[in-house]
Amino acid sequence: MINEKYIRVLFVDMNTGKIRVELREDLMAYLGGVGIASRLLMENMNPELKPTDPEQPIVFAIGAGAYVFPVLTKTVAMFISPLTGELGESYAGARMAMAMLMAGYDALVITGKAKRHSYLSVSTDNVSVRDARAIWGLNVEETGHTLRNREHHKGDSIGKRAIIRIGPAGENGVSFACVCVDTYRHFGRLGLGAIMGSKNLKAVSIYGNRSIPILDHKKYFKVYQEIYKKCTSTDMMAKYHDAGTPINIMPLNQAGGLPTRNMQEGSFEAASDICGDSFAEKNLIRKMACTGCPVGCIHIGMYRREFDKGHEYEAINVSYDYELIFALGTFLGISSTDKIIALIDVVEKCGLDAMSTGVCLGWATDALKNGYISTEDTLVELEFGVYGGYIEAIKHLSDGTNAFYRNLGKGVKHAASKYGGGDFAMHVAGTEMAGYHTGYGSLVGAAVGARHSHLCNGGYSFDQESTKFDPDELVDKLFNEEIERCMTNSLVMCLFARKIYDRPTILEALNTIGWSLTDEDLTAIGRRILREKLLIKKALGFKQKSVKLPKRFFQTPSMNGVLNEETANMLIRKYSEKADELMNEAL
Amino acid sequence: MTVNFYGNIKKHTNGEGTYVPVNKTHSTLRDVLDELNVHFGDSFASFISDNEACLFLVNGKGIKHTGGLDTPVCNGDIINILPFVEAG
Repeated sequence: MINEKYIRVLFVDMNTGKIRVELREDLMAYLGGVGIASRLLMENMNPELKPTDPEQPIVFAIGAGAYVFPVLTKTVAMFISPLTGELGESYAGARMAMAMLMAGYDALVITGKAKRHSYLSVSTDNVSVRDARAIWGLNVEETGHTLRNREHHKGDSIGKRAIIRIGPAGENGVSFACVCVDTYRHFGRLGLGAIMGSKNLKAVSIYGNRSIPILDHKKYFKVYQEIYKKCTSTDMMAKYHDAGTPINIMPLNQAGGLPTRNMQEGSFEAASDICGDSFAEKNLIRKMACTGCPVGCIHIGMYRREFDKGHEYEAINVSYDYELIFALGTFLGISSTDKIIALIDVVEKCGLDAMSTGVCLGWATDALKNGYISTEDTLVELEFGVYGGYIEAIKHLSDGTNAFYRNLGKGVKHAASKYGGGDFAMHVAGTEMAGYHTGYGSLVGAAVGARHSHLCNGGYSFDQESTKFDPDELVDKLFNEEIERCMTNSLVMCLFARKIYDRPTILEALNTIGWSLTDEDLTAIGRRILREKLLIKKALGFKQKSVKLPKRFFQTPSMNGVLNEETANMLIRKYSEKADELMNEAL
Repeated sequence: MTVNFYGNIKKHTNGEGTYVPVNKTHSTLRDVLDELNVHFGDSFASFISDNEACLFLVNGKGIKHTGGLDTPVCNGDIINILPFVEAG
């Protein structure tokens, strides 16, 4: 992609082991990242088949500018989500974007199902499907450790290799199983882990060591340095490095927008015990960065636990972030940083999405208390604030121990459809909620966002602005911001850097690596990508107007007061009209 | 009426965490902010004029549906100015 006029796509058929490489000039119109991944997903998916059918593709793609500019560090994965049955889209940092770039591939499309448990090894001069029978069944940590030893590339692998892997949850087809990327990052949401599991694909190791010439070194370096300075010498990124996203706990708590105890409340009485400063004081041991990022927002927390009798202790290290503190902390009424880290650790090892896990367990706790289910279903007592039951429940969820956990493993919407309690099953269009109950921006933003994430359009931000509520203005903002993020997700920019990568900076940076684009081109690219995603969703049967939001969103006051269901539905309808117009446009 | 400042807002208030408006007759949040701008100076004024810098709460609630900066205030109200919540 750098100084090239085509996108280099590697296709791997896990069933036959055959590979092919396509050089696609037409994909340049989609820039990179989510743009090219959307097009490749549309081309290779079959809407008539279920998400886990072997024929369905997994698409990984890196962005234009991947790794060669600060904070353009992520890889996007696109697939059909087993959780929602529609668009699956997930982002991860760590080393994967660098490794794919240095291996020589802008995109990787995986189809088919391997005949035996396997992993895929990709490097600059070799692509092979390898035997993973000995590591099938291992947890995420053990898998990473084993593959780091195997995929050593004659001792040259350090810093040049990425390993993504699933745990038992993915092997067992839990619909929100995640994929771990280099230990501390994840393709978290929407169940990519289950799709890999359905292909008998335990892991993918990518290693690259090629050289890429930068043609105008002086011009490139000047732009690089300007961006680097903005990242490191201004306030723009400081908070992500300091306490990190956990800094959000206290403001959201004060504002009444912090989902607590399955969103029975919007604030948590023990928030100060588990806020960013508390984690920093009690557990933070180091900070790390994704490869290519000078900020270092990954906060690693440690706690020490006795794992066996006879004074047997170990140190647990996990990365923690706001969403995990919400999902496995406030949402379950847990008020101890150590206990939240213990819960994160189990979720990590099993290979589950932390957010969906927390929301599912929150519903299960409420459902148990209100008699929709019993301990015959849950096998353990579940009580808000008591973490021991949750530790066991997470393992049952990963293993699919009984019918209840197998149903819960299909997501909270499915579980509520089986057992009741739909009013307090906190999902939006089948995706378990994120940690914001700030107003119509966050709720409607999730409902209409292409992947039902708060990151699709940043709706929670609009709820905080000091301007008065205006329905048409909100719908326009959500729509335009999603278009903008489609464009920046084709770079693939870490969203923390959205104020650094304004339009002039993007154009200048891309210009030094072979692109000649205008501001209008960037808007057109964003619209083209959103349109592609909407068409994928339509092809997979998604109907925006059929989205029904659980009642509790309209019962528990948000940061901006109690929300009205009719107003939310009206906003969703207005957005749908804009989305339909875009789908019908010839672009 | 009391105004509380949190997090990085305090960089622009000389470290002060609380301020009690001198003028007891402010009728909107905007009036209160005008007094704060005069008291704390340009750095504060410039910071809070950025739409994505601060989150304003009046008596613990957001101002989106109460009139934005024209949200009515009166004696006894508590105004909190918090860092904007951002994710990524």
